[in-house]
Amino acid sequence: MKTIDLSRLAPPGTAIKEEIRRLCVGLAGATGCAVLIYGVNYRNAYDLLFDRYGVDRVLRPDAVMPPFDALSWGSLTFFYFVALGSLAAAIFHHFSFYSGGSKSIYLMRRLPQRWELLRRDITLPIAGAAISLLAALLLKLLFMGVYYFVTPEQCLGI
Amino acid sequence: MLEIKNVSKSYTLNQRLHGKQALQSVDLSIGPGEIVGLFGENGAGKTTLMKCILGFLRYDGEILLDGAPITCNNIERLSFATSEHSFFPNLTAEAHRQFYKEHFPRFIDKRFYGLMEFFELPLHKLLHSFSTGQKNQFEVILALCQGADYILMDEPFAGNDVFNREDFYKVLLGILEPNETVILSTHLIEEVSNFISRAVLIRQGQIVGDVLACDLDESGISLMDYIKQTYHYSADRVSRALNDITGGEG
Repeated sequence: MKTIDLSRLAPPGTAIKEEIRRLCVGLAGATGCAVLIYGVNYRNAYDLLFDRYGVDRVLRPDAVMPPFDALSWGSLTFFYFVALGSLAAAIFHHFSFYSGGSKSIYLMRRLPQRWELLRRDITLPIAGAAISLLAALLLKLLFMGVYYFVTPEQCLGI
Repeated sequence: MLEIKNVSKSYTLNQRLHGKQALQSVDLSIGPGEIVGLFGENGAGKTTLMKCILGFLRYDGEILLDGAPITCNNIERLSFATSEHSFFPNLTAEAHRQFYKEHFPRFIDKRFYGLMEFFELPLHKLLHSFSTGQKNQFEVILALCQGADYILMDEPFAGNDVFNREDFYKVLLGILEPNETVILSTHLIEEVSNFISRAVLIRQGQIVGDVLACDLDESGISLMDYIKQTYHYSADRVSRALNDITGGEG
């Protein structure tokens, strides 16, 4: 299997491993927040489906679970914000890379390959944002799975 | 032939409105094989001129290389060494060679390894750990080895000791091919006067002098004297200024 040389997709000399580490930490943090927010919202809504009689719980006949969008709103919104913020920060960092320590921007702007500068600046940030959005989509599918399979069928909202 | 035709450059609207442009109607032609010294006081426009040639700045006028505008199709025929350094601090010298080789197919490996060995620069050490003098040397080595026809150097020796500079001038003269052109901006007039073939003087954005070294030799005027004459340098300005400052005391 052919491996991709990530160093060719970033400003020369960039600490790519550190950028990947930061992305992973950001994704882990955003995932944790999303799970926590959705988990709390779902748990609270689930509890309201039941009447408590001591230690027993009885499903209320008129119980309806709030719609999935209402429960998930906020958890994934935060996730998107983090993904886009990281994208902007990474692109800014890459562009400013060429003016830190030396003026390698003079070399990059002299290259015969006119798209080389842009390619190295935005490729990894865009890939990171795409991975973030994919992770958000997978999370959403997971949350939907919980919503539809854990909620009693007769209580499913619209 | 590098042709600079009626090039003007203003950094601010104020400059343009008040006629104090960074470059004003500069006309200059530089042919293959010339070693051109570009001289002028700080802020004269030397660096601005070089950046316009390289396409880093927008300008009015025209700059042509063998009759064609300078674009990505012919930019590889120009190389650039600057005192600000244009290398990647987190790469080694060898990694730079690979980068240049990939993007500038005419890169000269033999010259690169030869110069690295001559100046005793390490191949596998990150550039940010080089001394200032070593960084300057490496910057110039890259410009000389790119395989360019026109090598622009903007005060490349700032921070190098005199022995280092002397070695470099000798090596430069020895390795240049007949078709390679050097445009060297420097304040070290007396040091470079022995090996440049032409001196171009720039002042307040305008070309105020352009003379061949051989013509200066024939007239018996040194380059320093020529520059002083062109700038109307007054030899007693220092004593007059001191007199004013001290009020004629002592």
